[in-house]
Amino acid sequence: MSTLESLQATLAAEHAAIFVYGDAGAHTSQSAEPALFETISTLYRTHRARRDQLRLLIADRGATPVASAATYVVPSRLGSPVAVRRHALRTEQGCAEGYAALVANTAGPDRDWAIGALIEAAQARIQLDGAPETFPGAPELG
Amino acid sequence: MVASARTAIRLTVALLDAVSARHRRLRAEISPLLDLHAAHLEVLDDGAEDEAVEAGLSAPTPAMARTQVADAENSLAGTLRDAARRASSGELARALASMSAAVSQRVIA
Repeated sequence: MSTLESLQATLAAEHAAIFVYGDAGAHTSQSAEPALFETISTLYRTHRARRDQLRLLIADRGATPVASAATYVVPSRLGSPVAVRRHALRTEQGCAEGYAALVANTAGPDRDWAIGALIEAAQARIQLDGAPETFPGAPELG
Repeated sequence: MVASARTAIRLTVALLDAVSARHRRLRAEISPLLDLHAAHLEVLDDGAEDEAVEAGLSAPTPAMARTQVADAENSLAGTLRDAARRASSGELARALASMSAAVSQRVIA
């Protein structure tokens, strides 16, 4: 995969993550679950920021950043904090794998960006009460 | 690159061993870290002989030793991140970045 293809794939994953976190935020009560609401809100903002950064990295290469899909499939039952956490964990897992692939397909500042994103996604897993991993983003190494 | 990453991990392991030997009650906390580093060393095993590393010196109290371990893990995460940044192979960079992320995860867990 070329650097540009990898950047576009990562951006596509960011679009999906933003959709997921928007939906998760709508299913999380700020008063009943303040800590989870704060975590979801923070991750929503984080993925929006990464999306904007990726758009710039792609545009800098003279390419058109991939657009978001019209809609995304999300679980119909996000009615409990457990379900929200589980879906958020799955999202972070997918993004972490994308960032790890981007590390392999980039060099210099772009790789540094991808490493930072991978580390943050791994830490987000802990904030979502997930278990630590041996190889975040690269599970086949374990 | 691989050799320096292995040395950094082995230095951390040496410190963990020293802390574990001096403070028995910290063993349960340290054991998962030792498992993590062992898994990482296995992936980085290129068959080359490792240089000897000096055994770490544990801090005298459990509280100080816990801080010492956290500092060492933080430092290791940074070293692995830097190695990932400089790796000439993309796949090696990916593996090193994943290891840095794993160590960073344990630091905040």
